Amino acid sequence: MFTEGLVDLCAASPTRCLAYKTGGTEKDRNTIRILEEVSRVIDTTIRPVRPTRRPHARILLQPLAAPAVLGYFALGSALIVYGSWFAEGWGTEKDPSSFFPFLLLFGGVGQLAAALWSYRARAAVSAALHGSWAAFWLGVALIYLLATVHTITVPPRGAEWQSLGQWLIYMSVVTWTTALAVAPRSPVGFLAQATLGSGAAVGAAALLIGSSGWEEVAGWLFVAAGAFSFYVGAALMLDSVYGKVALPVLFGGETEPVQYELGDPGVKVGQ
Amino acid sequence: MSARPYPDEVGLETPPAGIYLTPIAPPVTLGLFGFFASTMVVSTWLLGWWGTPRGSPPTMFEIAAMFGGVAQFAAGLWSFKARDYIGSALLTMWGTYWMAWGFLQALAANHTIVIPPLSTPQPGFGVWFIPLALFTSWGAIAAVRENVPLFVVLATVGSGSAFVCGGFWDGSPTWIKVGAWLFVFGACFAWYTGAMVLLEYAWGRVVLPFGVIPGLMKLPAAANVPGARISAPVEYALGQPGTRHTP
Repeated sequence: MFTEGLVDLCAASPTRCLAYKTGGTEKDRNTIRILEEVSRVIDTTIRPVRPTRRPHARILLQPLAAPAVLGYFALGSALIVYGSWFAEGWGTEKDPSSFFPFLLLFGGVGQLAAALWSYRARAAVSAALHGSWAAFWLGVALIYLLATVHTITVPPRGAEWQSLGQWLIYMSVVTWTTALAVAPRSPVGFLAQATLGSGAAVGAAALLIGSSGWEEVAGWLFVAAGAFSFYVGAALMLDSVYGKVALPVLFGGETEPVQYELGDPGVKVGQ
Repeated sequence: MSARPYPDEVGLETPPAGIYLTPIAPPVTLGLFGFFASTMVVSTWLLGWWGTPRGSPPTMFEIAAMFGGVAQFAAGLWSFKARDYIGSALLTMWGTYWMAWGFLQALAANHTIVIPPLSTPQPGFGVWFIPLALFTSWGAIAAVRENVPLFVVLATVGSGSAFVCGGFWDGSPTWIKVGAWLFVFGACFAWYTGAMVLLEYAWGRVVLPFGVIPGLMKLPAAANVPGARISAPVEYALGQPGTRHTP
């Protein structure tokens, strides 16, 4: 075995190296054998990091369908259902027991999946907006789950509900931040998020003071934000499928996807 | 039956390895927003700004467990992909804290356990703020190379954790409130930091100043100037999401 240690030895002591290769004296062979063993131990235990050339790196861009479509549809679904109920547009205080599983999975799980795929899509606003509201709907659904199994009690609509009011303050702050971020690219996206942020602010005030009138305003703002969300989601989907701007939503929304049209899904766009 | 011979690989060259860098959206924003909202709600309750002092409201912990917990945890996991050492460690760990705290509160809401008032020593809970204080403070030291707002977040939250630890250990509402004030301060900076990163990414230029100390931190001094461009992302602008830089 001609290990790295012996390479160094040959470089440092050509005489010993030659002695090893040609037979040499018994003393030389013993010395070489010990060095060889030491080299083997070093190589296999505390092998140092050998300097190598800096590897050539490439940036890999991977196209995927816009996760915001799912995100806005999931958000819009939750906002329209919960907002219209919150505004006392329909139902009774018992209805959350039947709609919370859908709130949990539509607004929560579905939207969270969209948020996490948004990282791969390099869509920062989508990740922050849908991640925040997914967590909110997961939490609200959990509240109604616990109320349904009589673990906790939830205030009726129109009554003071300080903890949910507190949460809506910060949901409003987060949503206005994402609205500001999306403003230069998507005016309709800004409209949806600004309406949602306003609804959260009004809802927070209504719950903190226990005002059914302001709750009604907040609920219908949620519904409006849900409608705008559906529009943005639909526009992103239709624009992509039709290959042109079907519903205006973005500045410079023209796309020309890289694809091999006879390939499998993923290599080509769509099914 | 003879043993299967090993394939003869002598003479084969080691295949060339390629390094692929895959751009993603910054995960830190969602993580910090989750931390901001959860910390504000719980800390302001601890400070008596709202609610009742007897036990945490049973409708408070659910969203904290999801926003501060699940969402922040997921953002922490994506931070590995972003090669963000601070985010991958700290967002993930604080996410686990909020999930555990929510679990504890759920047990209390179910009357499985009883959470005593703040004036009663709770060493089994307070002791967890020792590791929280330690790794958050180490994160603060690491953030000295990043930007001032992130450093302030981690320094205040790390020191706040130490006060809260002492407060719960000793049953001292005063120490807990000192820690809660530090948490509120840190949470506001967490929102600022998350917004700062998000707006720069979405607008393609600095909107909120990064608070960079030139020479000490990695970013250029231009990061302190609103309107300055400090990034040039690689993109195919006409492509689908993933190939182009989107807000």
